[in-house]
Amino acid sequence: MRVELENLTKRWGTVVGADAMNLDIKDGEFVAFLGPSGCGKTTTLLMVAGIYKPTDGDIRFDDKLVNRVAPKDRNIGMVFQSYALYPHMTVFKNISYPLKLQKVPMDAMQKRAQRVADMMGIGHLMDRKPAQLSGGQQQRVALGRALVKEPGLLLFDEPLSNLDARLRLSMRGEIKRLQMELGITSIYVTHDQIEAMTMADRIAVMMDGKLQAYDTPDELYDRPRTMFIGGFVGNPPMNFVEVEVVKSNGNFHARREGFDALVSPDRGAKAAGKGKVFLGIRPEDVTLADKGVSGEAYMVEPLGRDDLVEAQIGDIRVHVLTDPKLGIKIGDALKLDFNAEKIQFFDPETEQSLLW
Amino acid sequence: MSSTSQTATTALPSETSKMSGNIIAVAGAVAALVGFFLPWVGFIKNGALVASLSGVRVGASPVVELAGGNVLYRGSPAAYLVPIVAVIVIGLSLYAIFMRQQVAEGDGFVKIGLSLITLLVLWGQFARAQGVAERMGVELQLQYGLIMVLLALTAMIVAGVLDIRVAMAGNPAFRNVLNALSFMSPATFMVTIFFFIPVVLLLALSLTDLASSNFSDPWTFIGLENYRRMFSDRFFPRILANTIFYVVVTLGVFNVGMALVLALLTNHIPRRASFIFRLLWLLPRITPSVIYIVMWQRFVQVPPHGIINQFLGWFGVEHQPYWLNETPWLFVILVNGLVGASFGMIIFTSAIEAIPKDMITAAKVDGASAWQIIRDITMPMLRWPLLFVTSYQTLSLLVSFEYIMLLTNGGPGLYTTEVWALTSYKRALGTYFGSNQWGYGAAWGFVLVTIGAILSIVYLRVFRFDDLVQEPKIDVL
Amino acid sequence: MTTTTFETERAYGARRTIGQAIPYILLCLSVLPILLGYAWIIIATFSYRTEGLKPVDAQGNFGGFTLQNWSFLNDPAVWNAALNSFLIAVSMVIGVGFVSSLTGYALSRMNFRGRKGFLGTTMILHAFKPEMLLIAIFQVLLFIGGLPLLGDWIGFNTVGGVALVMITLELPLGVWLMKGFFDNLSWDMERAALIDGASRFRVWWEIIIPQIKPGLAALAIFTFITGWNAYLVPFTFTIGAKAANLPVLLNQFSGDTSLASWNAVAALGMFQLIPIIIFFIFTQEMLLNIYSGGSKGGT
Repeated sequence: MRVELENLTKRWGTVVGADAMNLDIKDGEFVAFLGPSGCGKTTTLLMVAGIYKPTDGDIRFDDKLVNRVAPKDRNIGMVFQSYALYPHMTVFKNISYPLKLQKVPMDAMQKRAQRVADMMGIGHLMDRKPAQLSGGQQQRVALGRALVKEPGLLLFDEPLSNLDARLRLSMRGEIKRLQMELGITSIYVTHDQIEAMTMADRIAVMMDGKLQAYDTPDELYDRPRTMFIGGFVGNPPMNFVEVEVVKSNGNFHARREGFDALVSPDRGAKAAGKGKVFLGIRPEDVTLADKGVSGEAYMVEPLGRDDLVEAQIGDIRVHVLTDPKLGIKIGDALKLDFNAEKIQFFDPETEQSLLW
Repeated sequence: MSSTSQTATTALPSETSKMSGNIIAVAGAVAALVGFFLPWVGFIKNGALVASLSGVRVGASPVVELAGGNVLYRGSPAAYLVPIVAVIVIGLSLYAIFMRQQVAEGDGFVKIGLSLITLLVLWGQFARAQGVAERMGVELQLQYGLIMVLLALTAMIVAGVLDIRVAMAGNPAFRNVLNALSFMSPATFMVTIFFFIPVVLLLALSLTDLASSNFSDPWTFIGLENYRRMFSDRFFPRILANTIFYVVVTLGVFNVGMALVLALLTNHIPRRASFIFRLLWLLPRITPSVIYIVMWQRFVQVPPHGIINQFLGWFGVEHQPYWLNETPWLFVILVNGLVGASFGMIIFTSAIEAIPKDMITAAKVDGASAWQIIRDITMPMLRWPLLFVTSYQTLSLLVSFEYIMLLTNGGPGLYTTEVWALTSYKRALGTYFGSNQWGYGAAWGFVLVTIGAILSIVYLRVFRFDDLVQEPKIDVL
Repeated sequence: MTTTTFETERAYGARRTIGQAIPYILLCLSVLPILLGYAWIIIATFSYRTEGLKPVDAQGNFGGFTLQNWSFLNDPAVWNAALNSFLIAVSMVIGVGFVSSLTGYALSRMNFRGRKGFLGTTMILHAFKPEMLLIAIFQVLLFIGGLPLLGDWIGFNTVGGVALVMITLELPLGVWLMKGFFDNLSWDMERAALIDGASRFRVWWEIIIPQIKPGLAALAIFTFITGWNAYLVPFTFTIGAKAANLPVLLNQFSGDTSLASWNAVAALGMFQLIPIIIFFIFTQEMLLNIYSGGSKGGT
């Protein structure tokens, strides 16, 4: 099922939940809505589900306007953060409830419910009540209930955030695999950027009810359009340094007091002569070298595979990922090399990337 | 909802339902017209040349005495209603015929609602007329008219249903509104019949001299005479003073004062014990009022029955009177107060329990005594519960009288413990004075209702109940 | 306090004990009247006469145990009144439960025009004691009583009419309570059911109502007690024994009986108290909750 959101807006009085969203989701695509809490991602999802009425704008499924179509007639399945299982019904009744409402005959209903349950690996729990299940099992029941009516669109509202870390990891893979096998168009709301990056074909980043970017995970990571995306996508987050880009001796330099980094010509040209701009660079794109910007290790956080070093350069601090074998300690003098091909520039006023 | 009405105009009803709706509406109009005139044909048959088609008296000499059948219509509400009803039905039918190109959502409801109301009113009036006619041995020839009116109304109801179906087909949002309405309608219906209509009726009654002595006669409006009479009543100052005394003392001493003391006390004893006391405090409230009063009657009796006097006897007290006559107010207030105090106590207790324990601990560490903790920490935190209980219970005390009625019925003697609400009830519904003076009692009652309504609205504002109301998190209905 | 005095350990202990006892003494005093009242009812029920709380026989000696006070059980009028009481109570349980769970649901969870207005009205009616309206309701019931067919069931001087008035008077409280219960339910569950394909009515009946069964039970107990105890409304809207309930009968009975033989009154009272005491013993916690959550604030 193709989904199109056009100028979709939700307001409660003066409170804006979603502001003029424009999105299109291809058939079979897995799209994540990513943003901090209160950014409007769940509001948008609930409008797609038909639970909220849009204040303005249109929602189209396969080119058909569905603004006024009731949730039950939209052919969707939804999985909630709280699972939203019916506590007074058994697993079987939970899963088969959508079929019961479609007046599917009992034997067909049983067959379909059993098949979905087996697929989810909960076929042996059909007679239990939700309260007798673990969190992971409950989530599988919720997923089964959403899948049993074979919907054209699957909606996930932070389905994994109530699970513990290990379970989250395995469920993540399972949902992704299931979605690929069944080929159901899916929208996945999350505030966890790792979930979004690993699962989604495309990510819609939202903030304050506005769509910030809508692109593939790689593009978002490598060429963020705004400072917000740069800071939000990726962990540890991107460093931002206020600099001025100048051209000297045919080379572009990003400079401030005690700081001078070489920039590749195509990038530098776009930021030069703009006055003060923000330089953005990811911690893994800064390396320790023999020469370069000099600083001092202000803080060292061992992350296991890497050490996250916070380097003091003049009056600013920059995060750098280093090899633990180097054994950097607080107070060590450092020379930092900024990868000239990975440096981003942002306009300080609009916070838009200057590279696009 | 502007978008809704917009779509309603664009969504034209389907051709077939429009047709059938029109046919029925035409039938309804014709039936209503016939029904409108037939009753009066009945009068003429009875030999009364009714001066006015509307059935209202003409000039100074009513047509009344001319014929038996006519008596029914002398000023009775039906005399006004039948023509009004007919006009409404005809109007609606015409409206239905000419305005059907665009069916607004309300159309169907207007038709059905008005039809049902008129149906109910006419039903009652005709039944009553039938009874009177029977008693007088007159043959009443209103049946044909009644049947025609009923048919017309039925037609209108069917037309209304069709209207609603058309509107529903054209506009899914309207279906949702209907959904909400169907959830709300039972309560709305009942509250209208037993709350709203009575309020209006009470006002109307208070302007009439309706009493059981002239019950069968029409309502005669006498303006503000009842109110004048009320304020100039010889016992009015006494009743007013009683009411104020009763409310202030019961409220101050028991419903707030004692409730607060008990809440503070239960807070200082173990949970299990305080639970038992709170439970015991519920007893007066859930004991049937009649039995509760029987118990009190038993307390205050003269020897050898009275329980208080039995105790006094043990202590050698000679003075053993009938206590209810000795100190009537004490018992009126005790009886009400012991029931009323539990409300405040429960509210205060939960408010005290809601005070963060850290605050109390901090105060103790700072060296505050128990009394200082109560004064400086507990009481300020109880400000809102205190205000709430005070205002809420003022209203309750002001209008309730069941216990007083059962205990003293306003006595002993004349109006010793009679409060406003009791006066109102006794005048209107008691047989104390030989007759039910509904009109006069209603005047007393309406004053209280007005005070109560104003107070409740003020409370709503003060306590901002609006803020407690959460927005529904589902838009679809 | 300029100087600090230290009291001896023992004096402190004594003061503490007294300090701890005071709340109990005061609390016991406060529940004394109702306990004495119940004590008298129980003693009087099973004795020939009472003097104060002392059961005595015909000669005025201590004792006089008897069951003859219960002879009213042979009186069909009592059973008729008991049946009326029961019918009023049960129709209140059903009526208030059904109507207020419908209305409370809509007010809590549906977004429709006029919702705020309805809520405000509910609150006003809740705060507002309707006893003054009895005069006008009397007229309404008389009118309904005049209607053919309908009047025989819900008119003046019928159990149906009394029950209907009682249900309506209890609605504001019921709606407010139910709304509170609904407010606490998960929105996601309801959304899930809507997406699964249920209509709002089915969601209410199949998903939501099962979640608030404890609340409904509490409301049912509350309304049963209210209906069973009802005095003022049945007293006002009934004449004679046809539609009278137990409290009305009891009041009439106690008025007609000489003080000396009030033991029969006590027995009739005891008979009427049985369901109340059962509820009191077995559903204490629930009772306390309901009376604190939505108490009518009594007299």
